[in-house]
Amino acid sequence: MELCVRLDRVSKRHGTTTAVNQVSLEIQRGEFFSLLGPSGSGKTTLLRLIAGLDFPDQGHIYIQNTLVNAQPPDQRPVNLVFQHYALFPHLSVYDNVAFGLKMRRQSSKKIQSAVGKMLELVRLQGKERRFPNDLSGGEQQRVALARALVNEPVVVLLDEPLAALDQQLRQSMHGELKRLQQELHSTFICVTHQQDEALMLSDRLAVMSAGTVLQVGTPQELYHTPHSTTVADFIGLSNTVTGVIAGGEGEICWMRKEGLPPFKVPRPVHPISSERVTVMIRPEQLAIGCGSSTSVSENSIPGIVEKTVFNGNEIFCHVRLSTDVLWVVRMPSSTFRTQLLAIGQPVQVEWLIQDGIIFPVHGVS
Amino acid sequence: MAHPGRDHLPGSRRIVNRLLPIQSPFPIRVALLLSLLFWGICFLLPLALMFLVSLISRGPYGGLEWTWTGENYVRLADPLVIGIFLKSFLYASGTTIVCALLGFPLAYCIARSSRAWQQWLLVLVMIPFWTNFLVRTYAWVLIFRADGVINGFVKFLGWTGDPIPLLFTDFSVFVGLVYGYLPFMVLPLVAALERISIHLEEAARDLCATRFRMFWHVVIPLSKPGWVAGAVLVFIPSLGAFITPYLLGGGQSLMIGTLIQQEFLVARDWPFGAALSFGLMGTILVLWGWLGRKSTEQAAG
Repeated sequence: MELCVRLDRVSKRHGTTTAVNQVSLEIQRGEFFSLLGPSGSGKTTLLRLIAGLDFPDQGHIYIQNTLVNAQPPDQRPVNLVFQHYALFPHLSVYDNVAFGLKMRRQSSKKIQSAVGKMLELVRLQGKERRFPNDLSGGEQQRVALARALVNEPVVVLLDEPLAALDQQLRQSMHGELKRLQQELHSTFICVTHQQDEALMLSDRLAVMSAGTVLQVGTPQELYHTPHSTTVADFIGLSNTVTGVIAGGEGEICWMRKEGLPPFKVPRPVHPISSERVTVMIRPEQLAIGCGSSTSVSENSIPGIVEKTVFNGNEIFCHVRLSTDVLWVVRMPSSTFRTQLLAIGQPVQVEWLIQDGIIFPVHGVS
Repeated sequence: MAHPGRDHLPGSRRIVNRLLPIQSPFPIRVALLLSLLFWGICFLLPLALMFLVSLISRGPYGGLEWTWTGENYVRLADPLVIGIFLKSFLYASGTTIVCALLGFPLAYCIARSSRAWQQWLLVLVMIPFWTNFLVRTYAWVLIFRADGVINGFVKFLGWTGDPIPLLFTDFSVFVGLVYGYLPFMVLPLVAALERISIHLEEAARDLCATRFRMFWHVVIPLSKPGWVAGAVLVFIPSLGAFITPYLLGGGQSLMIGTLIQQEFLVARDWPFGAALSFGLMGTILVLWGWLGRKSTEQAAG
């Protein structure tokens, strides 16, 4: 694969706060790459550094193996889709999309055919003469996309591209974004705080927090093998319990925690200095059982149903395992199950040992 | 009956309703009516009186003689008067253009500075208004005259010749006009520029626009309301200005404002002065209408 964007220990301060701290990333050509993190984690700053709207205090930014640290935005082969689109209100849809080509002094013939093609691609034919303020949110979004894509940039940068749209529109735009990226074989770098969006769209993603990259990987890697509890918490729901590893044979150890019966966890891959560890299990990997038919590869812990949350296609059952451990079990909804999970009902929470993920606990607790 | 309550309204309300047939609460309508009345009496009435004056003759001793005549308007076609009109329009246009060129960078800096700075910079722009305009114009006399600040400085640098003639020239009038009306260009421009999202500028830069083309294609067109307001606020008062050409231009530099003032106070020819005023007003209105039609044509085409 061809390297498209490379960040080498890039830092950026805003006043006294460090917005981006020693970030290194490599983004391949043709990739849909997402930067996922809570607001204030530095992901938008990182995007602006790549676009050239901000300049790094330290480190190097390469686009197609060219150092672009000092290049102004008009000379970089990247285009940004702004969070609130930033469409030019005094220009028609056509002129908005044609802006970049006009600035690069392309021939009007070329502009006409490129803009026409692009408007067709984002399904806005017939709206050329309209002005941005006369368009719906979804249409504005597509104009913003077309305005960036028509320049055939090496990298398309998207800043929370779907944040301003309502839920239904957002889902249809998911497909649209992916389709555009694949049809144009272009590299997309997308900033988002919506984890479902990032998981669905991305080939790879980076989870950011407080200006640093916590983990980079495919959606599956990040969801199933997070490197830290922060990543696990940020991507999907997670149930955790912190306890002490105590003996065991082979690939499996015993874990003890006050108030819970001992249960089995996979042996940590890397030797862990401290004995205290946190085990994390995803809500959908848990099941409610009767406790009679547990095999050797399963754990079963008794608990009491505290509440159930029903959202149509799923039930989230909150089960209290001990005074300080409350876990959520996620399951497909059915009338039968709903009846079974009355509040106060004693149940068994069961899961496969291998689904538990172990994190070392740092510091004193 | 369609409006059962209407017949029972007290008389005063009925009158107000009839005079101002708009859908607003009664107290607001009363307030509107009073303000209309105020403007009618204080603005339209004097204007109407002056229009009457422009249609009568001057008495032998500078009084008013109530015989109707159109002669005052015929006198407007005098080449001397037309020359002064043309010169005034030239000055006013020049003042507007220079104010726009000087005002835009200043307005842009103010609009793009931080909130705290912005307040201080705006205060700086408005500080001149705290003093009388006449006093400020006299200050320019001190700067420009033969033994004034500029000539003193030139002398200090070693100039031994005659003092440079600055006061009572077209140049000094022009500087005075630009100085006097620059804030009227800056303030509406700041308001207009402030409303342009910084993201639009960034988008332009991101779309391969150089700094200059970003201004040309995005910032300047989007701040058009500010340009228009500023141009009107500078052009019209500088067209009718009389203190500046009077004090800084002396006898050499006659503009319409000074001419009108002279007709009223020196020549005591009120009817001709009034006709000059209406000639000026008419010209501005015609110009305005023409510009307005042109801009709507542009928007439509």
